[in-house]
Amino acid sequence: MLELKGLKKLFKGITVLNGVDISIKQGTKIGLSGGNGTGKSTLLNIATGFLTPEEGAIILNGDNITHFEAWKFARLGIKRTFQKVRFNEALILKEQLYTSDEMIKRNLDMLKDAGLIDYLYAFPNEVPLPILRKVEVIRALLECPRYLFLDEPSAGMAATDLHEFGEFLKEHIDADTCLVVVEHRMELMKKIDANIIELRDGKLDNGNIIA
Amino acid sequence: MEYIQISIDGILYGSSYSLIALGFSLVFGVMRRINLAYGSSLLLGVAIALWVENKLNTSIIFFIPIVLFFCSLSNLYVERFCFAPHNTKAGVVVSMISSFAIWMQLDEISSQLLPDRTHSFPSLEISTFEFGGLFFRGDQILNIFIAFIISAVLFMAVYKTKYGIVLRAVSNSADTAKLMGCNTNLVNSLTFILAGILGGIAAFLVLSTESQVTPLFGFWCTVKGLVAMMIGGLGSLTGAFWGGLLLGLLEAHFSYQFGPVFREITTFSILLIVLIIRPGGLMGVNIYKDLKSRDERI
Amino acid sequence: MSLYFVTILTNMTLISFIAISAYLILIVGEVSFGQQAFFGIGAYITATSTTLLGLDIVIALFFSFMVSASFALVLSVLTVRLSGLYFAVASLSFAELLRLSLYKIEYTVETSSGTIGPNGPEGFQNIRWIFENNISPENFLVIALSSLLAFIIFLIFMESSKLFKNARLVGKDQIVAQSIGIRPFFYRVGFITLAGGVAGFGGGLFALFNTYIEPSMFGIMLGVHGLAYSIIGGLGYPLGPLIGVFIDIGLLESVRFLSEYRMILFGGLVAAILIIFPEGIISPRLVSRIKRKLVKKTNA
Repeated sequence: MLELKGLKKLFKGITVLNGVDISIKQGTKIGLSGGNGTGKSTLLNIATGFLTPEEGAIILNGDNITHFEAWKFARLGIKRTFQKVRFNEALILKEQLYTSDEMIKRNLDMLKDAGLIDYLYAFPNEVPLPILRKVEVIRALLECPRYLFLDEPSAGMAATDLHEFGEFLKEHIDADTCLVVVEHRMELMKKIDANIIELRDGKLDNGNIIA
Repeated sequence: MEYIQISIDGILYGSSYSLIALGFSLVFGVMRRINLAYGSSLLLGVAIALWVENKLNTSIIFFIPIVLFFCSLSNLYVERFCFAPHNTKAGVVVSMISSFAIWMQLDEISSQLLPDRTHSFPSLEISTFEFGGLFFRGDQILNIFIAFIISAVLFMAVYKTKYGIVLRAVSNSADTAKLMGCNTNLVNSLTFILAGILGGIAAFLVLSTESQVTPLFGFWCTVKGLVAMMIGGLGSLTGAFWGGLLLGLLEAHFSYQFGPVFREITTFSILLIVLIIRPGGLMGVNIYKDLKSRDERI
Repeated sequence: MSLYFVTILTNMTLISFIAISAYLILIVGEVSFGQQAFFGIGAYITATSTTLLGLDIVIALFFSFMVSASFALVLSVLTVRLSGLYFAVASLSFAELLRLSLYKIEYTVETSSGTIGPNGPEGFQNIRWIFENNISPENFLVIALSSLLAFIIFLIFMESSKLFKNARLVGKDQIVAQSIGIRPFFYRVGFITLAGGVAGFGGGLFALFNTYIEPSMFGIMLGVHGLAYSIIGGLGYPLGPLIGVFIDIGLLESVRFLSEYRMILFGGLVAAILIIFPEGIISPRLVSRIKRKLVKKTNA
């Protein structure tokens, strides 16, 4: 279980998060919504170790990991994608999965489903955005994460792409894996039957304990 | 009493550092570009000016604009060759590296123009004052005064004028500025010219206090300018001013205690310590926090 | 082979060690202006080992590698929170401090063939290993070149390793690296340390070749040249730095009438090359493209 307790975050005097409390059990699917600038991405960054909160704690299965560096979060099974896809323009996609040929063979259907097979040897600028987004997800999934955070994956995607993306997530994310989608477009979250909670005034409503 | 005199000497000498650092900080602080060829372009400007002056033999009043002219010209050359072609986000490092290649080039050209170990440089002939048993070098007092004025003027220009707004816009995001109708090329070139003029003023004042110029001047400017800026806080105009004075003060005391050879050791030790303990410098410039650098949004 | 030619090749080989050293640090995403100091330390260590301590060349060079690597390790730990210009300036300061301290080290011993030992600004004279062992210039070139090539081959081999791929990711995008569980600190320290060792090894060879070393030989310009070579050569492949070396020393030096204005030409050439090839001639992108073509050929 991943617990976020009393998280507070300030940016240059402005309080963005004002006491966020939530406990996330493995396997839950959560949709985190809220208007622009409400702090959703900030919360995601903190929950995945990329930002440190001014106050509060992050507890993973009883251990306090608040001040761990981001790579440790990743190694503990907390993975994420990025709002703007981050790829190296000089490397082919196959290299950017950072995995072995073994693993690629074993997960061939997932790659096929993502439409990635045709683009394995392509450079990022030759690849459509929806596929790039799936690559980021696949890269995380190959390591069997316990918690996967998606940062506004719908940005830049048309309705059909979004539909496909949702199908992909439903198909390939285990029941065991906890998925947190930070979004302000509802379609995706509804597609994956997520529990929708909202971030407002720096706090979460709809919930403390999520079963 | 000795310590006071040493402090005075140090702070006054530090005015030279402040002057150079101010020119540096205009390009780095506002444009966020690291021009490693700055010192060399000033040396080249001075070298050409001396060569021209040799032929024309004018008085010092005409010499000064000649120095300013060639310093800005050199700096503009650097801008066109090293910075204009790399005006993208990724281009920050490439332009820095390009600028140090040109640093090597300009230093070599200057060595050809000034082949001797030292050349005389016109001095302003300002005398040293005495006050209450302490000595004050008049020319260095002038330097501090001018450095102060320059930083005030720069501050006004960058933060209170239309040019300043345009400059900051272009530095923040050249693409957005272009969309708003800014001629980014012109703005960048003008800024480098301005930095060249400032540098020319600095070079003139510094060299006139020494009454000579050596081929190492370019290197000296670059190193001392960088150190002064780092101590004060990279990117801060006020930091450049105070950083220079502080550097002068510290150097004076250390070389008094441990000998003149220690001057350089002091410079680099201070720099290293500042970088390790407080990279933001005196002004506490924010360099890196929580995996988000200034322009990064994850 | 004429002596002139052998000397040029040896110079190219020796400075390649600095270029490769800078290249290793570029891989993890930093620019170092300090590799010349590790080169210098390596020189002094080998000089001391072969003269004052009477050690074998292999042991001497090993010590040079290890001692330089240790200093580089210190630098990497001190600069853990620094990057970009801050790291560059820190590396420069660290290097200058090391070099300036060489001026203060004075310990000489009189021998039948002259004074040996570090003598502050006078340098270290009479490093007579090549004479004592009857090593001709051609022999020395073979020694130097084969060590360089051995190391280059090692790097080429390592290019496809997970270690190097991760290191390049750390250099390119630390955030993505962290998101897949890669710890940047480990790679930075590792590569900076290795780079220091490589430079030290080269310095050791230099001391033996030159038979005389002094602190002023290891100034900033030496490191800056090495850095320039790897940047224009490109960081896509270990051969990149060698190309940079070749362009400067090989081309410009050999064409005699140009050599007086070499710096002027070379400086301009670097800036010009960077306009066309911002990531160097053998850029990572080019390497990927070539690899892709090769894969397509083998698949077809």
